[in-house]
Amino acid sequence: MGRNRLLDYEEGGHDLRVPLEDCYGGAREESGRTFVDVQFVTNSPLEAKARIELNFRVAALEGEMRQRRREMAIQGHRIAYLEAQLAQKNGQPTYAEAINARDAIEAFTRELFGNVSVTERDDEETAGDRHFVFHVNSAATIDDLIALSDKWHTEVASLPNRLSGLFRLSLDIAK
Amino acid sequence: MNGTQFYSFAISLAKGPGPAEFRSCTSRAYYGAYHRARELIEHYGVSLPGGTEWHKKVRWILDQSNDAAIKKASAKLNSLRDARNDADYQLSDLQPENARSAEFNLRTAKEIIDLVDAYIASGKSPGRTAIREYSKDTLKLIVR
Repeated sequence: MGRNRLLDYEEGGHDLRVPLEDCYGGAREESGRTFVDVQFVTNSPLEAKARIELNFRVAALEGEMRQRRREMAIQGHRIAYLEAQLAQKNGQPTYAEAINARDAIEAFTRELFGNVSVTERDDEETAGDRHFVFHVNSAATIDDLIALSDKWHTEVASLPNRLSGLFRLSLDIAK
Repeated sequence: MNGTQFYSFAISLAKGPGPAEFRSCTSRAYYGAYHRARELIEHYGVSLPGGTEWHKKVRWILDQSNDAAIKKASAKLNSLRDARNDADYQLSDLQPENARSAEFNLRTAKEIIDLVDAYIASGKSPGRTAIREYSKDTLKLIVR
């Protein structure tokens, strides 16, 4: 145990590094043992003990935090994998796929109509029908708008089936 | 009664003169196109239940047709659905009260209806196999 090293404390500001076999992180390997640096020099054994214990607690907290973050990262990768597998089985897009497609359609819409704003919307009557709406303003003729709309929907229909249903066009037509 | 009759009624509403007519024009235009799309699927031998969730599932079925024109009609039906929701629910939004907006939605509905009419009349049944397979295997519907 690291705390036993306190018994080895020597007067005169000697090396107060302590082994941390029982801590996760905040430490480093040296000569086959794990150490954490104690950032002070003191001649008082009591102060040294207090500070080392404090350092232990901080190092342990930091170590645990790093460990938990690693675990979270692993879980995050696992969740992303599961989401992708489930989406594939259900014929639905992953979140990343949907966002990438949304950005591409947004750019296409701006190119086609010269303006666009995007919102997310839930269908008022059908549960689970969340989608992106591309709002555009136009003063074009109805014939021109029908032609532009046809191009827009051709583009959306060319997406994989799991994505095409996510996108809707909303025209704010000038009177 | 079939979907086309809703569409015919929508045409009469497109003349206005007030917001209720223009909003109802868009709403009836959507239902005309939606029911006509259902009629295409049923023409291919699939029994579709009623209910609100089938608005979404009809579009899913059309998306699985492997036919570019049907997929595009499905995408237009999606957009028309939102226009209909605006018309019937978003009363503070004045866009559905615009005569030109109602006309645009009416013409979009007509495109969908015309496609269904042409496919049913052709006798070639584009997308039939894929629609039947998806309906039976994924949605567990009765297919004749």
